[in-house]
Amino acid sequence: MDKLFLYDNGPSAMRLFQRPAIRELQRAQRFELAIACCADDAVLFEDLVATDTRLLATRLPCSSSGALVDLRAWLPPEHAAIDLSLEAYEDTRSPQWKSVVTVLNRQLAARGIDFRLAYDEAAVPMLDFVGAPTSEPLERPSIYLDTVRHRDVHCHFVVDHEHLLAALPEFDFRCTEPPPFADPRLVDDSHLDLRQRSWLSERCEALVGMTRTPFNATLTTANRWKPKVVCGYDPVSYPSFWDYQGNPLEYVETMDQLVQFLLAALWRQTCSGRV
Amino acid sequence: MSTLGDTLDALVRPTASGDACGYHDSQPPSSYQPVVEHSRQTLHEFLAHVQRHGPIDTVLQVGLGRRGGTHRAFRVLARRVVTIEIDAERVQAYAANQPTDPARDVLVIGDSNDPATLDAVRQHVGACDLLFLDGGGTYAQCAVDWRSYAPLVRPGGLVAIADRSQLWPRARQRFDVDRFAQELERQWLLPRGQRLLRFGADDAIHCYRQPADAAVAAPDLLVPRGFTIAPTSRRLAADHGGFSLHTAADGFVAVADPVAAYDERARLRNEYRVVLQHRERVGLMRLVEQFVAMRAVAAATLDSLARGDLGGFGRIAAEFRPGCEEFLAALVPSLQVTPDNLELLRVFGALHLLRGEHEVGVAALRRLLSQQFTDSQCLAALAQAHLHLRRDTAAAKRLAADVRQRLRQLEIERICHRQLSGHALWAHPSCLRGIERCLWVGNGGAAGAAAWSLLALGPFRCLGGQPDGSGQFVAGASGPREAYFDRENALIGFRRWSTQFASQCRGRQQQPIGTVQTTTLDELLQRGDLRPEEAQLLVVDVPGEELAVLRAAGALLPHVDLVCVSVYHHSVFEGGNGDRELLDLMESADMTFLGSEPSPLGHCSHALFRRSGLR
Repeated sequence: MDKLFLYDNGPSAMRLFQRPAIRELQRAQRFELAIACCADDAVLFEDLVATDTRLLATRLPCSSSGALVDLRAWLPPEHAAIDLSLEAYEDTRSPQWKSVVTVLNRQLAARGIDFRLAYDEAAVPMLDFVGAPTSEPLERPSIYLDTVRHRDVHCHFVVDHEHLLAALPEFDFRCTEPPPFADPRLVDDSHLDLRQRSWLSERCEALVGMTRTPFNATLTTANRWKPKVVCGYDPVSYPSFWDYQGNPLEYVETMDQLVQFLLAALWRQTCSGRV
Repeated sequence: MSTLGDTLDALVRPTASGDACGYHDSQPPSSYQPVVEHSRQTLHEFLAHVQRHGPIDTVLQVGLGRRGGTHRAFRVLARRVVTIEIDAERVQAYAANQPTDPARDVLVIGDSNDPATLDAVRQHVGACDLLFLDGGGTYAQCAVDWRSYAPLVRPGGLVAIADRSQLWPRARQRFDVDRFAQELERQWLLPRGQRLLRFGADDAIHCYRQPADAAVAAPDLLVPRGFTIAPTSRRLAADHGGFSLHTAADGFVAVADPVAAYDERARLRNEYRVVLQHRERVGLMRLVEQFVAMRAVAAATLDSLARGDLGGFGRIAAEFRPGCEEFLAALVPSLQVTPDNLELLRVFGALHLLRGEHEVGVAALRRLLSQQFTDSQCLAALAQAHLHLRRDTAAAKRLAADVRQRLRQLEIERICHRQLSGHALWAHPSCLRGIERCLWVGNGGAAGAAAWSLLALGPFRCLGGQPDGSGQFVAGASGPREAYFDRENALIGFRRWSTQFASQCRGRQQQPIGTVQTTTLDELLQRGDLRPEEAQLLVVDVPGEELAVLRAAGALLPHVDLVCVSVYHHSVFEGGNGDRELLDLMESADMTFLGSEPSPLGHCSHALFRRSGLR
């Protein structure tokens, strides 16, 4: 069996995009995998540990821009170092499944390993975390409101929480940042880690995000067809992320557009009796 | 003929003292020394909008910035620029380093919130054509500045607000300049039938046209629910160990080379030499003392290694290894916030080598070197660590080769920035990394050859015809072809101008050269008159014929790493290229579009494509 050391020195949330690639390598049943990560990122990959897959969590935490020191410092002997970063090549910077496959295949080829992952645009996998404590609906119908920003030159948006509260009185808003003011319908979920946020999003009726990460934590099978929107991007000028056939993701530029989208999406759900 | 963009780019070239260069988004992670503190594209687009708006007589700006970059940029468009700046030292430094004309440059020293400053400004500015608010960087400051100075803008003039609030997620305030811009639009502009125009995204400039009734004093805008004044950091009374101590959002910070006021965003830009942090004040003071001591140990460690004194290295390790662990654990939170800080990396890396954690130590020093590869001591220490601590000769050789390449690239970029202009290759010298050989097809070969010689890169070959019909004419097909000469721009091509374009070219004409014999690149390759390795960089400038030339280079393109091709956006030539067709062709040839740069001619750009899969 080939031994692979999988690493990415980039930010934690960007690493979520690699999870399906790691699963595909596991399915091939011809590799021993060592997944390197920073100390505080171990929770993002714990569910991938298996007979032939171990986690190498360093004792150093992450910085905002990624690993404090190059994770290759922990390369075990006889392992081929596979850099899964989407920044590795100029034409793979768009966070799409195709980019992940391209990076992996080029790295395997560069290490002389005779295995290639096939890319099928009709079968784009999602980033699911195994082991959600519950899948029961929340007490009140809720909208996942991810206002956490990571550095992203493509995005500019300001959320007006008052506007949302007034427009959607039947819904709670599960906020990934501390709300700007106290309101019983603005629920502070800022203490949750990415995995917990992913599970939370699966129990919400609609998903609202800003920058591509950490909103990518909502890219799960349960959320595949859920109403979802990213705010502040110009999809004409900048590439979309993690696209797949039938992707319901919409892009809005203003608060009015966001509210209109949510009203339309959730009105349809209301009519079907789900709320 | 230089464009507005060329003029602005010339402003940000390295300063005479060499300590500043470029825009906000061209700075390395470990230091922040821009001439202009806005992103290049954002500023260019905003000023192009201002230029299209009409003649600008007077600009009023709040905030000079570190080096007055936007003041100088506004001078390109305006007869007079009045700038308010609270920091007298900045004004003095600007006046000392830049030529100023009292009739055109007015620098008002004072707090923009101070009524006395407003009175002083009114003496210089009755009404201005453009107001640019770029001071303070908080919701409250922006609101006060807007209320004070917006009424000075004439009806129909422009009001602009610089907004960097979304650049710094970690240091984001709950209600920031972006929220002020939103409230301004909602409460004041929309009722007047206007919206804000935004340039840029995370680094933004918002802009609106002054309504007719704005001369009346602008009202206080209602603040959002939950609004509180953003807390500012407070400096503690006593310095410690050469550091000033300040309160911070999550505890306390210590700043080397004491500063009067601590700014979290300045820390994130690595404007401070070192910042240490701790939740508790006493803990911070202890950390400062340890850092000062360990910094000396780290320096001695690297010095020993760099000189190859392994005995000295061993003695330092024996003495200080036991005390490292606790200190390094306490240092990590500071490094997490600024992972590219050079001093922190130096100490972190050296102490890990002392502790025997060679891989981590080497990785940290490697990160330092990637920011400052001219640090000869770090380079020498790292090489010795590879050779004697890790016993990895190959890694030491790779290190040396990497640094040599980086130094060479630095030299290339320096020459491009200081001595070359007017072409995408010189505006984006990073694309020349690893490129040694150039094949230049069509026009501009002589200038290209001169630039290539200046850069001291490898072989350069030009395939181009002359107005007298001599030379080598490359086209999309071989055979006899009518050629035309645009004398004003010294361009030779094979397509006539379209009627539309010709009508715009007052006084200019294409002159027929006559029938010339053309060939294709693949034909030259097939005949052995061209070797594939000659075209590592392929430049194509055959007006209106570029797509055809590339289509007829199918056998050559797989050997090319970088393509630079002129793209005519409008209907300049009869039957000329389409942008989409060019992009599709290059994608099919496994080339990634890097970007484009307008040419000085104005009706075309130079587009850059790089071989996919190159790292």
